[in-house]
Amino acid sequence: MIKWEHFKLTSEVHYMKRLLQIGFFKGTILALFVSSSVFVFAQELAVKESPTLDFTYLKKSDGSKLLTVTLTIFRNRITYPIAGSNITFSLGTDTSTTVIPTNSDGKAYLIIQPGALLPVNEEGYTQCMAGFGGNDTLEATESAIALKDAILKMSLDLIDSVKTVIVWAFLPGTGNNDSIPLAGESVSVYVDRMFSALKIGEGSFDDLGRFTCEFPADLPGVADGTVQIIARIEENEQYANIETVQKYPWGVPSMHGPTGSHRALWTEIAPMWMIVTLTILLLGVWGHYIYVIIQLILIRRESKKLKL
Amino acid sequence: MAKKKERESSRRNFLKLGLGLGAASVAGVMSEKLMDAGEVPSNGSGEKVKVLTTNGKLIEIDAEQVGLAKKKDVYISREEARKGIPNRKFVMVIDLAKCKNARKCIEACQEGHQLPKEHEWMKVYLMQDSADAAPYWFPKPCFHCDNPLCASVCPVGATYKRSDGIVLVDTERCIGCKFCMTGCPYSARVFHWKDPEVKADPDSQYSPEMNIPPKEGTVGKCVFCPDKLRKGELPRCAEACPMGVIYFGDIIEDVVTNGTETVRFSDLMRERAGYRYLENLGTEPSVYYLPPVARLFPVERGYDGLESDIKERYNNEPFVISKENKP
Amino acid sequence: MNSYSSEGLLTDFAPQLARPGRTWTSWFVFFLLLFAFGMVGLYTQLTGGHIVTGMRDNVVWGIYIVNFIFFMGVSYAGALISGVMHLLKTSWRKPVIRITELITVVSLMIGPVFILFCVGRFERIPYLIMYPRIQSPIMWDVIAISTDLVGCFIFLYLSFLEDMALLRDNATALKMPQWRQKLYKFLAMGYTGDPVQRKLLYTSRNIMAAMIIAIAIIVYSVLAWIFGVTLQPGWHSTIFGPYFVIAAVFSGTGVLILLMWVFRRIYHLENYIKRQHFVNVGVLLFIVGAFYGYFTFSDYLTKWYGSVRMDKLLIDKLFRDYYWLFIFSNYVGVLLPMIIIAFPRLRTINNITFGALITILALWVNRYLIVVPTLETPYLPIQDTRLDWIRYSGTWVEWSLTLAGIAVFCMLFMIASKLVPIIAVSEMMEKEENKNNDQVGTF
Repeated sequence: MIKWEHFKLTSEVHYMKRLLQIGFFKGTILALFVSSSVFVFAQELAVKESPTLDFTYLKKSDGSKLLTVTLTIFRNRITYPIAGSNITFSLGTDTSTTVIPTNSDGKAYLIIQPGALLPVNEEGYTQCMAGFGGNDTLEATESAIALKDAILKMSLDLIDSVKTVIVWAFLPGTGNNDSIPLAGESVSVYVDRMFSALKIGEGSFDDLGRFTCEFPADLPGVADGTVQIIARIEENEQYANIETVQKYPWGVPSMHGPTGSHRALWTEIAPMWMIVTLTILLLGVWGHYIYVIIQLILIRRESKKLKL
Repeated sequence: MAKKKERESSRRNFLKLGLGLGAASVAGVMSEKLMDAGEVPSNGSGEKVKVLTTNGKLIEIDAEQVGLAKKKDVYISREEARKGIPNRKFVMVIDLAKCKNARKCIEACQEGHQLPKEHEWMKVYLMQDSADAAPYWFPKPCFHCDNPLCASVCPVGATYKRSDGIVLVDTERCIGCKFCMTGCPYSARVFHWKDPEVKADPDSQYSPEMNIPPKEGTVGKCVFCPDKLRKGELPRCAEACPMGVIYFGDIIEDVVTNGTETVRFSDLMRERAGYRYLENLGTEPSVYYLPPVARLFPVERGYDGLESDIKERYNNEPFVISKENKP
Repeated sequence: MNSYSSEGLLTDFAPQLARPGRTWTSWFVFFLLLFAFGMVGLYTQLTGGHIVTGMRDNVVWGIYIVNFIFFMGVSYAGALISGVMHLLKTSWRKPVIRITELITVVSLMIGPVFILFCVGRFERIPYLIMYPRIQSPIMWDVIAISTDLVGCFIFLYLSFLEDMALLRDNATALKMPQWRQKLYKFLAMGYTGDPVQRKLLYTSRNIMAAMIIAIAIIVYSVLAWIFGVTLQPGWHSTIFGPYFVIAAVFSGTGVLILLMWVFRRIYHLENYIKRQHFVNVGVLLFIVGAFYGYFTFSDYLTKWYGSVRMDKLLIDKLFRDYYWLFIFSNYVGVLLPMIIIAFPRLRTINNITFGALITILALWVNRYLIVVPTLETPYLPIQDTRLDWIRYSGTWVEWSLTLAGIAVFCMLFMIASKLVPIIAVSEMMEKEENKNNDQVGTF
């Protein structure tokens, strides 16, 4: 990208050479004009902000690969998303595969279906690049990931009546028998919760590419005890992020709060004894009132009787 | 010239991304999970996501199918707001060892709910339980008590407790008698004594879950941001805290998180000796505190960068007075 | 035909019912001006919002609620005293019972209006009927006040009935204008003193008198429980129910004495309201005042002796920030009337009235000291820089409406005294018919 600026500067050099040929006086004027324009241009250069481009890769449980680009700008201690900017994705090639604009959150997504082949170089890596071309106010920026594909699997078993999560990872090969295990890579196991995921195990794969961790016996699940268990390889140098997800009824079935028929001081409907007591009191008092009013009506009737 | 992705992108940043992605892993799983929480955002935005197919073609599908649609705000009517988010019971844990009176929680809350600057639904006190006890900064939202005196004494049912534990105020029904304010022993409620001069957004309808715009002559208080909870996001104060002081979660799930750390609630209580404020009043608050043991910063850091009129508020506290009297 | 024809009594009372004279009109105009001042305050509040009052987030209840409690207290005291006097058939009650009954009803009409001023959105008051929650003490109070209002009006009407009949029969003799003749005729409901009618009336009155006593006690206790059931230090006291009732009777008796003095002077009722009446009501004041002092002492002693921190903070505040008010209300207000009545030399009409006036003021201050200092000492310390958020002080708006309330009280009494004799004529005549001793009974 710097090339264009280089071109401009060399053109100024050419200009300078010509000045000496034109003549000193005219040359001075010209020099002043040119240098001021360079100066102004340099000012413009200084005003351009540099955004941050965050490029992540996640291989999901169903085998699809999600590439996410987040384009943001950090101003006055607050991070703002940059929407509507074109991100150029290149997968394994130098030419652009596609251009996707960022949404209102500053994110651009590209999903690669499972089974879609990506070009791989000699070392077995796929070079993925995401670039932002820049505009009048923002500098251009780009980011790249070199990654290898790997497979992560999880099984949930009751071993010696202990709930155990077994995770194993291997490179894609011809079959299970001759696939190469991912020995020594770190992995974490989570349980999905409402706002975040609770980590229940962390470690590395052994030589056979397996990792075992215990599932806590007393973790609540939803009403029928179902929990969602996630195993993830995170921020790996070669494989970036891979996760696999499974639902299993290993949680303790959870009980929920009082149902609508609950009555207390603070509920909408009062406790029964309160309603009964109040009704008795009010009926008693107002009953007497009605009796007295009847007496008054009788007085009036009496007077009518007397008049006749 | 491939530049390696900056590994310095903070772990927090990644986790934020990762959490979002993790929760949205598989479309079917995603919508089922949300159904547990009681709602599926109906996205009519038509947002599309590009997919590279097996035969190398690029197609577009609905973002919602893969759980990448931007979460929309759902309008919750006044009647709907009386029922809580199903199968949830929310709890907050505040770590007093980390609070240094940054007041970002207060600012985020005020901004999110269009509050005038003098209205604080979350307050930060400088507390000292006795003359020799340690002083500490005490952020105090509404405690959303399980035995709420405010809801018991409201004569018209304008304030109520829902099944998910949140106590809300319906300012369309509030008559402004202020009995709830005398009923609350924790001074959690504020009253709008004058016209707040906030223009109501003509497009949005009133919902007690957001409780905006503020209405003159009615009561306001912390609502635990149910509008954010429905989107799977933490309340504004928890998100804004730079120290990660505020943990929030579902007590039935037994997990609380402050955005970076996710821990089991029962473990946290047991290991850090969590307690509730003024427990013996019997109101059963839903906000727990972790005692200020092994503080991250000395208490004095709480004065950094404070405006003078806020600093003056704490002048009568014994801690401040004794400091000033020191030679 | 049993129509009353004692012109003697009537000529004595006739001037009261005559057309208003210059003095009456000028006083009425004076009160009307005070009322207008209150309306200016109300307008300021309606346009400026409640921020024009002194109430803020901590002290959310101020002078309006104090006035509400005070007026309701006076009202229930009137109900209690008139009910008790009626049932006990004390002979000396007759000249004063009408005033007592009027106090009940007039105060009852003024008290709840202060709630409308205090409430943030008074146009939503109908919600109390549309969406009631019976677990709320305010709802108990609403039900209680409406029940009491109806009961007191019925009771008042029952005691008016005979006088209405009397006035109807003598309307032409008293040269009343046509509209008043019609009014009395309508209100008398054809009552002629016939034995059947009389029995009907007297049984009703006895029933209502008994009910009024019970209602008055329950209703004012409910008001006390609005404070008592909260957790606020100083309010969460078990004595609040009985304490409020006793304080109410104390204040009501004081108002009664004051009004007795006023009407005695302006209507020249020296023959009817005699010194002995003042002494009798004064003794009532003494007894109730002793109980009031005892209850107050008991409440504060237990708060002060125990080491509960919030109680200590409250007592410290009372003796630091409210020292003189506390002394006035709980020492001077109790001891002064008691001393005046205890010593025979001091028992003059004017002295007793002065004691009653001090009682009234002291009890208003007592209500203020119950409501405000507690709200200034919440569990969580008030950490604020704005002085009006830390300490409550009533603004001119609140005082203007207080004055308006007092003015309306006086105006309503003035109007009532023009429409009905301020002394229950029919009761007095009954006394004469029964040929009772002319001497007034004593304790």
